[in-house]
Amino acid sequence: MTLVIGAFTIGLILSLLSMGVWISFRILRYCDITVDGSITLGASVTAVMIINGWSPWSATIAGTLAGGAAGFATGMLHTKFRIQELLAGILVMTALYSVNLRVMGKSNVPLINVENISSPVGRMLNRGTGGADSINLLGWAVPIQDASMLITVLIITVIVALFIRRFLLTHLGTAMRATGENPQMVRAQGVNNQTMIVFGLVFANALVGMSGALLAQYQGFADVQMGIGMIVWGLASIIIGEALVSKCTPGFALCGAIMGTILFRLLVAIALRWGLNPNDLKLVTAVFVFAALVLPGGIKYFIGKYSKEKLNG
Amino acid sequence: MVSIRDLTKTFFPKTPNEVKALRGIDLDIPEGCFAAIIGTNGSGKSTLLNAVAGTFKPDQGNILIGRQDITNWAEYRRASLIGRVFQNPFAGTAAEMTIAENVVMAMRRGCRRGLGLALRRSVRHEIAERISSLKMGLEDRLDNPIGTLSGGQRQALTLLMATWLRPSLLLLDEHTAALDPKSAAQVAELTLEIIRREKLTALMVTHSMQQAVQLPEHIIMMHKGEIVRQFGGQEKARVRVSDLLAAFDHVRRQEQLDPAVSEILGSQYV
Amino acid sequence: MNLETQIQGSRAVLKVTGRLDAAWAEHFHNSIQEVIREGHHHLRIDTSRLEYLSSAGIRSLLRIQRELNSVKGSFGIIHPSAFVAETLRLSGLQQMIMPESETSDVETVQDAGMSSLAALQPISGIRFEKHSLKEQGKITVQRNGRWKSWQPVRKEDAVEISFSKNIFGLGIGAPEHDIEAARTRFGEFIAVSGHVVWLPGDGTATPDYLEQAELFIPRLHVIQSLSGEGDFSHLLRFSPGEKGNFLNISDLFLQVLQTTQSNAAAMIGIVEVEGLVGSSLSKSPGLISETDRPGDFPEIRNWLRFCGERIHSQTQALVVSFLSRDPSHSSIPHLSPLPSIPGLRVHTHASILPYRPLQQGILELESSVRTVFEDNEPIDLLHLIEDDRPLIGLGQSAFIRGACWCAPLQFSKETSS
Repeated sequence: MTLVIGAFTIGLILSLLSMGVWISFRILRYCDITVDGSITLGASVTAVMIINGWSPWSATIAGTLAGGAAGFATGMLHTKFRIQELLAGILVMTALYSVNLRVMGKSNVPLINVENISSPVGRMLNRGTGGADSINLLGWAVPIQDASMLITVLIITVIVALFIRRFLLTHLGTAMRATGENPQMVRAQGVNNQTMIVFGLVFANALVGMSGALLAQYQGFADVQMGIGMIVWGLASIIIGEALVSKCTPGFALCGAIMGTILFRLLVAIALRWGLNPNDLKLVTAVFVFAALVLPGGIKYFIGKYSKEKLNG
Repeated sequence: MVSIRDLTKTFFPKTPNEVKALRGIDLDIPEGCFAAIIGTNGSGKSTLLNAVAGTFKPDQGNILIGRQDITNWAEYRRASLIGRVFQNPFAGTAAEMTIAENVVMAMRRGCRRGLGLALRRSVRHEIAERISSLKMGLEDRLDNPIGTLSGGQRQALTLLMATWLRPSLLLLDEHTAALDPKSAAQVAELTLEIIRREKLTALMVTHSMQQAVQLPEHIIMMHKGEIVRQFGGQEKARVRVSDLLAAFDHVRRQEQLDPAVSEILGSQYV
Repeated sequence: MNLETQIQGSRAVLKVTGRLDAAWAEHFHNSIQEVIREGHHHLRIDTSRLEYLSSAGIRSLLRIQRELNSVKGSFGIIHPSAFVAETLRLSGLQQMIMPESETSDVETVQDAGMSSLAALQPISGIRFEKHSLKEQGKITVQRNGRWKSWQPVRKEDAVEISFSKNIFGLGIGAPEHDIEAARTRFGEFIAVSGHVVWLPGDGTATPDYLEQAELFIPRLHVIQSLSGEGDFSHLLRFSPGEKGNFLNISDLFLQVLQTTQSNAAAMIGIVEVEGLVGSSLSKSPGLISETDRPGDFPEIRNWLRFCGERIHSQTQALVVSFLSRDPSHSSIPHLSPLPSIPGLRVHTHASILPYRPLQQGILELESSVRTVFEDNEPIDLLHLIEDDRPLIGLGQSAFIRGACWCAPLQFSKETSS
């Protein structure tokens, strides 16, 4: 059961990342690999702030904003300096490696015996159960600490998802969705598509930063290496999610991203339990994404991408 | 009122591929006039339209709409004055978004876009009402992705979108060229209807001489980046396709009259 | 439908197989027209294998009959199947069917009349017939209008001329009532036996024409023109020995000079065109101002239209030429040198019309011109020139067949002075 709870919690946390990746890859149709750096940035900023006595909430918000700043940098490199989207992401990601080391001062910052974002919920549960250190969930004894984290990230993820859905249905959100699909049309309707790309990347990377902030608090440390391969995990989650729901409306697509991430984490947990070498995990994930891209659905994805470039040219 | 003064554009300057796409275009389109540009391939007709739309910055010259000099305005900023329909039916709409979502984008062409919900009930009602004027039954399919419409329907919708807010200038870039003959005729008819009803100032690029003769009130003939001939007023009324062809032929022959021929004519033509 | 052509002496027998209906009538007519162009004016249509004949087919038969009648040819249906005979009889056209007996004796009836016929040496595969019309026939040529090329047109440059049937000519002018009205419309014209074709210089590019009728005589204000009056001494007929042969205009000029045995001649031709090279005004010279230099490149582009390629093949041209290699004529204005024949100076205008077959043998000018204009409208008008640019030059105008009336010319006293 610990395994399932863990998979759910980490799945919910990473679904913030997935939603960020979904915004850049699917909405903006922008191949943004800043993600690997911005998730670590979110984690490191949050960890350092918590250690220095800031409240977990303000630290999480700061991590989120830091992620947004990374997205802003990528967006400006691409739109103002006309650097290819992939290269702009690589530049920022590489630079962030040093930035993260600077922020943390070392390669790993442990968060042991400090307040984290789930602590208030933990105290509430504690009071509710009269001081027990575990609660009964469907017949299983779950440690209070794990339960409070699960509840906290569930609430955050649901609020964030509702917020994104609502945003995408506003005038601004509609324009952002159209930007990815048809920049030509968007310009003809009086929208600066470049601004939209920058804005979208800020938005996406802020979500990734938030994901990093929560991840650091959940696993109890921030590590300079923790972001490696995150983009691929995000993509894998989205692909699973799209297989689960039709992706017509923003609401459904967001649900898909969340469900896909959780399912992906469950699959990973099961695979590890069955003896998959953790070192092989990234290879397996990459192969999975490759297969998903090459199979018919993936081909369609590429065509969508191609037609966008054609209209750009 | 649109005024273009000495508009010049050279692509790939000082390279072997140098193309003098526009060579000092001077053009005035009075308020409420529907003008068409015709020309051979590479005559610069689309380039001229794109210069007005703001796709690129001209090397020299000015473009004025009303009293506003828009020469240095970015493409998206010009949208507050200009409505556009493209040749490719896919270019004017976002395929995976719904009809209503596409239209609601056009309802705010050139306006600020805030965080208000885009598709309120009243807005949907307004969209359905106006879209029913197309008589294509699209008002019942507001939540279908645009990608499910035919090219003709998409072009008709794009046209409606471009004129939803009255533009100071409507730009039509061979907007019927990619359609089958029947849809092309329908869209052409709709174009004329909307332009007449709203008394729009419009500039259309067309490759179809027939269309140039039938639709607009003014014909601008371009060749090699220059305006070589204009037909307006009474003259336009009697112009037939054969006259346009003859005018093109004349231009082509004029080019063949080179200095060597000039010398021959000097000695033999008395 | 299939058409087989067999030449039997002066007659051509065309055997039609299959159906002659609306779908095939156009093709049938064009194929027969081709045969007529080749000079066969006595046609017999063998309909023994014709399966079906609709009204569209009958219509094209009637058209061909009318065309052949106008050139004094003959036309008839032979070996009609019962079906064809019945169809024609019901349509009241049984006279179209020719009895077997008559098919053998339609040998050419030469209108020997007043003329004498002589065959000449062929030039580049083109055969010539020379018909003498009037001994001592002579054309007197007058120069009208005082405009000097590319100068502004002054009021006194223009003069009004009536082109009645006995005057022919060419030049630049306009049929307006006064010179000020004509100023914006001056353009090339050609005048032959009461027919005047002119190309208005107002940019319309479509020739206009005037025909003498009843009391109406075409009148033009001309600023530059040569007009001729008198009798033609000879008629030259020419036709290709075999398909693909054609005659350059310079060779025709030499033949005319040789035929008329003179150094200066006037010529009117009705010819089938192989290709024309020429130029015409695209803007009236009446609009030239003191500051304009219409003769200079590139300004010349606004005033003159150059054909750019060999044009109007397969059409018919009505041509008027004045030519001279007499050194004493070198001061006569409006004649310019022809590069391919040193010493020869010419001025030629051609009006282009849809093709019409001409009667064989000797022809009368006036009725032939009338035939050419019947139901036909001029397509274009050109001042013919020779393009002798090396490699890319278009060469000279050339003809496939035709009839040319010619005579020695003499200039009127005031012209040569």
